[in-house]
Amino acid sequence: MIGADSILASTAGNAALISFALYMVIVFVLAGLANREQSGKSFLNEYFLGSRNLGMWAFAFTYAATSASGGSFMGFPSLIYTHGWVMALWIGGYIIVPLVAIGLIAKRLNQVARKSGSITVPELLRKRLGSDTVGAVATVLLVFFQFFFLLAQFKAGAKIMTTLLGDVEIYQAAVAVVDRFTAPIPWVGAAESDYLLCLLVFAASVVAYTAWGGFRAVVWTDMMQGVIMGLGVVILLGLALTQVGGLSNATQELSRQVPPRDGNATLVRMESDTPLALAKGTWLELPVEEKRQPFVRLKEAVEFSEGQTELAGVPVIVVRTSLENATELKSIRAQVKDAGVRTLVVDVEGYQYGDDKPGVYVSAPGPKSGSATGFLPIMLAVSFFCFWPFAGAAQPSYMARQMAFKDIPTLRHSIIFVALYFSLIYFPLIIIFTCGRVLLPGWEIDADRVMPEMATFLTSSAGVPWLAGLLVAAPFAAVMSSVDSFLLLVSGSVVRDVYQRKNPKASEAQMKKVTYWTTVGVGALAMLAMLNPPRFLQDLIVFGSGGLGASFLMPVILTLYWPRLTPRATVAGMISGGATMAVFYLIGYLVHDKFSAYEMLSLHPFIWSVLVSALVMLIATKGSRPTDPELVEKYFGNIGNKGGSI
Amino acid sequence: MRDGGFDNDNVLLRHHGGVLSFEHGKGIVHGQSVEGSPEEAKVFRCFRALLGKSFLIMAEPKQRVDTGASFRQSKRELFVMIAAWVVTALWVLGYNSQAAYAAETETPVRMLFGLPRWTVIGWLLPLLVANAFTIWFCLRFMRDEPMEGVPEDE
Repeated sequence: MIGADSILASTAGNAALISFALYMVIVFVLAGLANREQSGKSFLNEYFLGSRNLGMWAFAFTYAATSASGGSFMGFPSLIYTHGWVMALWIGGYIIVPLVAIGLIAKRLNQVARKSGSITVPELLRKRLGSDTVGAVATVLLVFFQFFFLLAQFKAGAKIMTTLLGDVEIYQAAVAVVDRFTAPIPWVGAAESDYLLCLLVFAASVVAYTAWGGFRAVVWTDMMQGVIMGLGVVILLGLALTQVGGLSNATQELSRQVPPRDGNATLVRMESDTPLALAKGTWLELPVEEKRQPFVRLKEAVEFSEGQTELAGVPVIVVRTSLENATELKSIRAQVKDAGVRTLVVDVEGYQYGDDKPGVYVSAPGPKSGSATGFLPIMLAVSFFCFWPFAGAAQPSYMARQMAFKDIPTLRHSIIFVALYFSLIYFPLIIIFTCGRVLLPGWEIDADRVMPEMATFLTSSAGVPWLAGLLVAAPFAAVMSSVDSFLLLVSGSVVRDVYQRKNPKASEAQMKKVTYWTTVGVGALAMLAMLNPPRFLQDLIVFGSGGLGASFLMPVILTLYWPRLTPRATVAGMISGGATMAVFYLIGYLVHDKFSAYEMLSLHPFIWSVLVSALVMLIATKGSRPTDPELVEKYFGNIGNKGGSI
Repeated sequence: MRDGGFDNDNVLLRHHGGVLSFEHGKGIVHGQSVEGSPEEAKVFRCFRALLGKSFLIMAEPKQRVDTGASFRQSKRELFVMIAAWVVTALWVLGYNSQAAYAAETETPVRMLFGLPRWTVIGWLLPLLVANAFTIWFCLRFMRDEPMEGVPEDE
């Protein structure tokens, strides 16, 4: 293997494998301990909510770790790397996320859940409004959108593992075996065998410990994973700043960068007496032009057979480095391969916004290849400022945690902790991966891998390759902590809101069996769906979380705070919110010919979906039968004439 | 107790089977323990010393649940949180709609603490202010309420 992949992966090597194995052992020990805790307690209440007894550290860490998912450690770094400092504006809403996303509903949700004895969000809506239809619609929407979220995490987990284990001999042998067995199988054989193997191992392990230990295992592992993430980010920040020559140097070099260009190359070989393989990621140098040094990077592996002198139509990117960018030039030149190959680039295409425009990585709207208005027009920035806090508030996986804290002091102190923790994670991540553009250029060829590549690059450059295991464990922990929560949420909805409703007299042993197999089944389905994943993780994540937000934000807020809300209005609100989101993505698919949102008036579909949902609910409430007054009295107390308005 | 402050020397923390008692001057307020461990009690004693009366809003554990009062208090908190979101939105989006988009034409880039200037004024600073507000809100404004019991069939 030649090129950056091998350079980076070899530094992690067996040390990474040992770190990873150790990490997995601890996860399974925690799951085993959690499993023992289940004895003598109500199975469902313990398995899905940890007996509603989460303390401050447990609640705060599980909330933060679940929130900081594969999106935060894989998709987000990939976007920072691709679009630069504009990502600070993109994620601007996170400034207030801990207060709004947790505080907005947590207190009321916990109280209503306790009063109604609810374990899942659909169950809470059903009991508060006294309608089976509400519960059924909520279950369908929750499972549908949450499943997309789950898919993205599976892809992230497998991607991290491929980088982490890339140069381990046992792993390479296993990949070869998988390749031999799966190559003839239609669809499965189309997946890269290293990705396939990692997906299988990742899915099997996370499903096993989640099914075994339930909510308590998820919370305990989240605590460990939260610590690893925090440590990982702090260490990465230190290494990145040291190696880039300080923050000022990184920002100045970044301000001189221009986006790479896509193209095809013809590679001409001088000598052809032996075969020559060039790995994906191989760098080749071109002659200097207009104060910029162009380099070509291969987007795919290619091979000259014996006697072959020319390869045409090789997909590449062209990185045009400013001659003033000493750190960036040094980094690329260290990887340039002198393979005796002459390169002729044809069909070159620049970004629609930002091509040949220095300063585009340190300003808004940021570069974008497929849009002439850039990555983040101002109206889209407004959308995301609404999206993060409010879509966050409406995520059922967070709501499950908000049902489980034991008292209000726990909630108050947890919000503070999460605010500080998020500040520690997200701001440094932007610094780290803008430094990454300088230290590790050219990863536009596979931007989703930039996080693990940075971890292995920084540690090997610092002479501590064994540390790569811990650093790569951070995004891996983030992914795992989200996957386990989502798995549990989906299986909880299926078991509690579907199976138990149809079989109210099912014994505890039956419930256990159904719960375990549902968790395994959901995991297996997600794995199968991710054999050939879409390119950008973040698109899936935004669709999944946006869909959940659109379906549940207004219905849940109004369920908790508006006594006059009716069941019919709630159903209408959930369906109209979720459907609006799906329609905008369908239009996006037709317009852009890929899975992405259609942004009418540059506003994210989440905004339109929530507006539609709210409007529909207000109208439907006026025209439908009021909720049972006894239920209103039960959940709102004696509100007299004043309680009807929010 | 000092004027407008908090006499940390007069604060005692006592654990009684998971219930934490704060003895503060002449008043005694009872509530559920934050977590139950002495280490956490120590951490939050530091916070309390800094933030004075913040911790004097603990609920009486045996207090009867007043659903209506609890609902109204939660609603008040909801409106304050939304107001906080509006203020940060005006700051971040208002400032950056000019500064962040204008930064593209700056040569060389204007920096503050080694970062693009707009990210410090339009993101880092509001982040610090929002964190300070969050701490105040959680320790001073958000009220403790007695927790509901879970129904028997659970």
